[in-house]
Amino acid sequence: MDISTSETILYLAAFLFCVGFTVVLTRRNLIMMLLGIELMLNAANLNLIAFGNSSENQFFILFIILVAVCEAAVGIALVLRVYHFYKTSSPDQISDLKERA
Amino acid sequence: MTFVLLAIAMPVISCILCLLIPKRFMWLAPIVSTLLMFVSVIAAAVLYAKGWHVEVTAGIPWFQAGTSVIELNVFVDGLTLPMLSMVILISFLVHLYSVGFMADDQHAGRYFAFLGFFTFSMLGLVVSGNLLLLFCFWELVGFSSYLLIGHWRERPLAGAAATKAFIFNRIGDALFVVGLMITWQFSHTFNIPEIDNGGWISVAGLCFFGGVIGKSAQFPLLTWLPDAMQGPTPVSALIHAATMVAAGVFLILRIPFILVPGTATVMAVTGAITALYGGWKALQEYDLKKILAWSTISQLGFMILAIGAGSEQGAFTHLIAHAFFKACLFLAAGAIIHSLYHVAKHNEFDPQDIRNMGGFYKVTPRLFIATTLAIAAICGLPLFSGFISKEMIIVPMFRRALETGSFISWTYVGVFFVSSMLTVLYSYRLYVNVFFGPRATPYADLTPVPPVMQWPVSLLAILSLWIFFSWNAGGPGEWLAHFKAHPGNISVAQWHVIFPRATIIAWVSFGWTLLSIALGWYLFTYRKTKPRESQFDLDHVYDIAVLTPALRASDSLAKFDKQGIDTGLHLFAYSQVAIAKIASYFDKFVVDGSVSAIAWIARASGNILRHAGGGQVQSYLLWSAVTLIIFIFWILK
Repeated sequence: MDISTSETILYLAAFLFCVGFTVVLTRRNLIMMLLGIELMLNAANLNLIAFGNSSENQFFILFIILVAVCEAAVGIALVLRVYHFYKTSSPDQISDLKERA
Repeated sequence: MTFVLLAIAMPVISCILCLLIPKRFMWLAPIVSTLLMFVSVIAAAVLYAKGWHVEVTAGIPWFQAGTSVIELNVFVDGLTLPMLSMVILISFLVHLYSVGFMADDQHAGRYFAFLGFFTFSMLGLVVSGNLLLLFCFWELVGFSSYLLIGHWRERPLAGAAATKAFIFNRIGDALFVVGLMITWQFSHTFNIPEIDNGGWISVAGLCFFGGVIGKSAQFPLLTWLPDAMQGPTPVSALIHAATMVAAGVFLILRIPFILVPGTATVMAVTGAITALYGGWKALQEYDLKKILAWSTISQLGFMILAIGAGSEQGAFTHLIAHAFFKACLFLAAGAIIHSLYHVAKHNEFDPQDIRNMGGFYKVTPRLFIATTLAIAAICGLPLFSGFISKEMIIVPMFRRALETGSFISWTYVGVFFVSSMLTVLYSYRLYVNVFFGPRATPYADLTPVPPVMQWPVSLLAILSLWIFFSWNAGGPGEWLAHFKAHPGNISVAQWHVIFPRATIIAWVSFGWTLLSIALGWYLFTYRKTKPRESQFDLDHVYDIAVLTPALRASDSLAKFDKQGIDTGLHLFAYSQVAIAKIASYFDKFVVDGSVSAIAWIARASGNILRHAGGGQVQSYLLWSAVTLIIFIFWILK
């Protein structure tokens, strides 16, 4: 893979990271935030591809995607439990650990 | 020394015992105290037998002031010993007399205790070797005089008289204290033989003389003495005739170095005024005891005049002679009043008024004889003590007048003759009114005078004879007249040698006495003059000159206090409160406020920081991202 292609991939990865991060910062919903986190993780995977397309990399990426799926499943399960408990999925309103002002 | 202390200790023991004796055994008090006084008399007799030009000085440290030690010391010399013996002897006789006089008194124990206390104080005064100690006893003497004048405390007049005596004495004693201070300033010692008679001695002398004026009832502090006659008569005899009032004269003789010319003139003039005024008042008085009191004042003035005019030896001899004959007269007067007392109470007349007496020569012959001797002595007839003392006074006075030829010295001589004439006149009037003339009271009604009261009078009358003062009846011999007063004084025995006119003066004096007696006979027996009671009284003068201005001044001071000082105080208080209010506001708002402000700042900043955290996960993330970006830029740059 030549330099220009990997550069393009890096730009795409940066774009994806920024979008994911913006989603995490701005959405008032835990599920959407999890989606943003997935976007950022995939941006990192793209970076890995941009720096070298060998079979080790590809396996490593597949492994990461696998772990990410497990993590997403655990994350969504947690979000569901939180939602059941608090009857909301907005992170701002879940403030039991916060000191009462 | 032992005997001196023994003589002084006996009255103290008597005082303590009399105060301790329980009420049931009160009859013991007079006996015990009289016996103890007799021991004192024996001690004094032993001292005399040892020879009386002995000087005893002894002392133990009393207290320390800075580097100087004040001693409790005794100083007995030729001046002290006759005085000491006189005080002890008269005190003993008065104790003996009081056994009869106070027999019916409820509070005899208290009376004898105070009498003992007085005797102790007086003896202490006589033997003290330093002026501070002397002053302490001087005050104690005044205090016991106060107690004894007020013995009959149920009489309001007695209480008033006691207070008056006390206050008048304090006025003089204030000056005495000033004198002490001046003496200390210039001598740094109170020991009488060591006092430096240099600086300011005339001022110090005048201050001491102020004390003498109070104690010896000199002009102008003399009206307390007639009032003091409210006390029991033996007390009047002992304290207000023989001993305490003579303490002032004794004090001057004790510190003769104060007799510098100016001070001596002041003394002589004061004494002259007192002698004349006392004699004049004695002529107008009708109260037997008050006549004697005014006579005492007059005689004391006479002594002070003699001292001021340069006859210290004469003054001292007159002091002793006067003590005996005046005590005799007082005790005789007390016996007469005592015998009249019950009938007077029954018929409601004054037992002390000489108009209610008369014809007493038949009632109590022994008292009559004794009084005759004493009256002869006070008039200054030959063979009696008064003649000797008077001659010892007039001869040096006359000699000085001849030598200096100054007007004032001749005035002293004139005052001497006038006041001795006054003495003869009032004595004659008293004598004739009491013992002769019509009887005012039936003899059967009189209370008999017990022998225990007659004997002391007789003994004192015998002591008025010449032989106890000088072997030479016509003039000063070698006995008491030879006491040591002024170093450098001429010996008394040498007078007739170096001053031939002395004999002439003695004759002139004798003739003057006879002339006075004749005048007395003419005035009081032949013409039967009744002296008008005088309108002039020093007490009125004091009321107008001292009391009224003092009251007015205190009134205006009270007004000033209320209006001026109190207003100022209130203003001050208000300003204090205002300042306190301001301070409290300052405290509340500035001090507390700054503390609160710090707390508020802490809270506010804490709030700001907390809001920055905010508990919002997304803002945490944002901030950490920003921080990370800043960090990366910082690293990569």
